[in-house]
Amino acid sequence: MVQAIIMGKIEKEQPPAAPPEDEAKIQHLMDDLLGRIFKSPRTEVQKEILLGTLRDVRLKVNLPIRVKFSYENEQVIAEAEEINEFGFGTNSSEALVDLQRAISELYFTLEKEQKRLGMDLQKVWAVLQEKILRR
Amino acid sequence: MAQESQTLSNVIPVLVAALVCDVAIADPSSAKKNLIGIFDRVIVMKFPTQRPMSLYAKVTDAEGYYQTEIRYIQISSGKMLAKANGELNSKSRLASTDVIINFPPLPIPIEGRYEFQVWVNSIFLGATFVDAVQRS
Repeated sequence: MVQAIIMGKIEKEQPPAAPPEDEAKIQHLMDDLLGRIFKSPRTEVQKEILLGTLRDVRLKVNLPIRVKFSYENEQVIAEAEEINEFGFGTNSSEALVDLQRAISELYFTLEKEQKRLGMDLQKVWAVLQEKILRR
Repeated sequence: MAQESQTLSNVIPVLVAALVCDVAIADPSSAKKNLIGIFDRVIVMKFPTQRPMSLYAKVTDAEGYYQTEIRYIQISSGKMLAKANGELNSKSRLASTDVIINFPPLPIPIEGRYEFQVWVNSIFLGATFVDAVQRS
């Protein structure tokens, strides 16, 4: 049985209420100092997901890969902590696609170079072998 | 309804197809799926608007019981605008299972990309998209 739910009503986006003048000035000053003026409103991003696909027909995800999302300036960063790999994009979808591509590339690079890997990369390769299967 | 007592499968299925169309119908006698008007772009006269859409999804390499969720996401904001929940049972990893979901009119608040994301047991399996474009 499938149940569909529409979230909320369609509403035109309203600009946020302006802060009091002093507060706005202080915020601008802080933004200038910290270089963090956001031109567009922040997007809603899930903080963490379990990834079950790499969008690569050669590879199958055997165990889900934990992915954390964070912001830096106006970019979304998708991070697979277990293998220290990152993806970047203007939204979470783009960042995830970039991460998937990066993980696939990493898999094939480490597979090719597996006899010459240092300790850290051997650990990464072990995690990849556990989580990803070659088709 | 979701059966809480059933154990969720640890096998991650593979999403082999996800298509958005105007209407998706299952033939009552054969259970064959018929997709009418497959599209990935909507031309809009004026935003915000809404449009009925149907999703066809097919998975394979599934074994056991899964709780499924289709999320309709506005990519620019990351907002989930709609979702559909269901269940999936598969006895063999060699078999494939498909599902059609006829959504009621879905909101399209602004120009941009909208994604239908397929999740099973809270694991992201893949997505397909629709681009909403302002008519020039």
